[in-house]
Amino acid sequence: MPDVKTTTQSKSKRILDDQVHRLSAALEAANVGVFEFYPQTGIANWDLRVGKIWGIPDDEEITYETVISGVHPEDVALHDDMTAKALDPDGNGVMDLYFRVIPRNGEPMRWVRTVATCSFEDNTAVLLLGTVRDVTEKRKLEEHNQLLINELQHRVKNTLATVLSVIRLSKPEDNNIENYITSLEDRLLSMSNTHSLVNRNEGKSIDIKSIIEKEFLAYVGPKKELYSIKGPSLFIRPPYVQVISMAIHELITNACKHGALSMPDRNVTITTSLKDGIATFMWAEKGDLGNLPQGQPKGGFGSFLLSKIVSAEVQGHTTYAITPAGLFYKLVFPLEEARK
Amino acid sequence: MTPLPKVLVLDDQQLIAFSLAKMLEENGFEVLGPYANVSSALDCVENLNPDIAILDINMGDGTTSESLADELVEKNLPFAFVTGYGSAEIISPRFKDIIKMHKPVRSAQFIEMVKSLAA
Repeated sequence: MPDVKTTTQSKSKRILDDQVHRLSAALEAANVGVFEFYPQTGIANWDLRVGKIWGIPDDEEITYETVISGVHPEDVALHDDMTAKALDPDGNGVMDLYFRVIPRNGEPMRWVRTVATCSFEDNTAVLLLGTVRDVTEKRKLEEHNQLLINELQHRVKNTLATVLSVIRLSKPEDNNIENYITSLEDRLLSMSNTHSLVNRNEGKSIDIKSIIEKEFLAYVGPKKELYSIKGPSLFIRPPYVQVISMAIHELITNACKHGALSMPDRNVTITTSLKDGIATFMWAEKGDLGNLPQGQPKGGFGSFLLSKIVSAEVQGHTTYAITPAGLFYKLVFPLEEARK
Repeated sequence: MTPLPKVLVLDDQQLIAFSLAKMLEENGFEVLGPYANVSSALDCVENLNPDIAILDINMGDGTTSESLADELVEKNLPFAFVTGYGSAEIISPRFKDIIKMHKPVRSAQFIEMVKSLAA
């Protein structure tokens, strides 16, 4: 007949074993390491997971100095301070801190979070028991998010500075407020569409043909008969997309207001070429343009942008002229090899 | 009539640069540039005798205008930084006493600042 006491004992042991097993499985799954530190002797124990973060073999005797030897020099003072506070019988006996560990075995630096509580006997700290978790990935994600936020901040500020510049530079000579507002509206909508285009392309270079199509679509609707594009794709890097888009926008609006597209059955011919890293964009409104003054167009923001700003921005040069044969705008600029 | 104070303007974003230039011209300054890169601005410092300089910090290609700023300090030529978000924080501490204005700028404040440099 089995001994009742033994049976109860072995049942308790089984329950205890189960619990230990469950705890260790949970720690394993959560990648949480456990440590204990006896302040009176200076001896510490940690499990394999903590030893792995520090890059220290598990047969080595661990002391507080071992722990500190792996802490990033800039974080040692913080670690010492927080440990001293946790061990202080007058404190709350809790420690919770983030710090960097430089593994002894040459593995890359890790960010860890330690959470521990201290037990006291007779007003003396006897045991600091806690967990250590590798939070490097989380930390990287946070840093990456911060980068994105900064970049967004930068872009918003920059966009507003650009908008303010457009507002100032396009102040009309004739003080016609209604026309001014309409033009500003068109320009800002064009910028907004460009922004979407750049965003959709996730920072990749954009074919000038897409820019031309976008600008025509936004200003005149789906009227493909108004223009033709011949020649190779020119892939414009994102920093230059905005200014090139603005230039094309100005060409289109000018053509619609005073140029070929203000007359029936006329169109625009756009030609591109790319040779030895030099790109050419040619805009032609061929044929008689009525009473538009001959020579280089002057005055408004559009001609200023087309003749001065674009070329300086893309480090190229422009020619812009109205002749008896029509209106011609040529932009020549260095272009790196096409990247799709 | 005394000659207009000559202001060198450097900003890789030309739209912004020309808008600063316009504000300056409307307020009695002569503008040199605006320049889009440090080397052409350095040429200007050597050859056109600017009285004041307005510099963007970040030149868009990963470089900064710090080398030009060093030259201006050397020549004892008054200047200020007009800079985009985050750039004033990355500039070397040796320029800690130089005026830094963040873009976008208010015209009146910008002109007042340039006038203080010219005084």
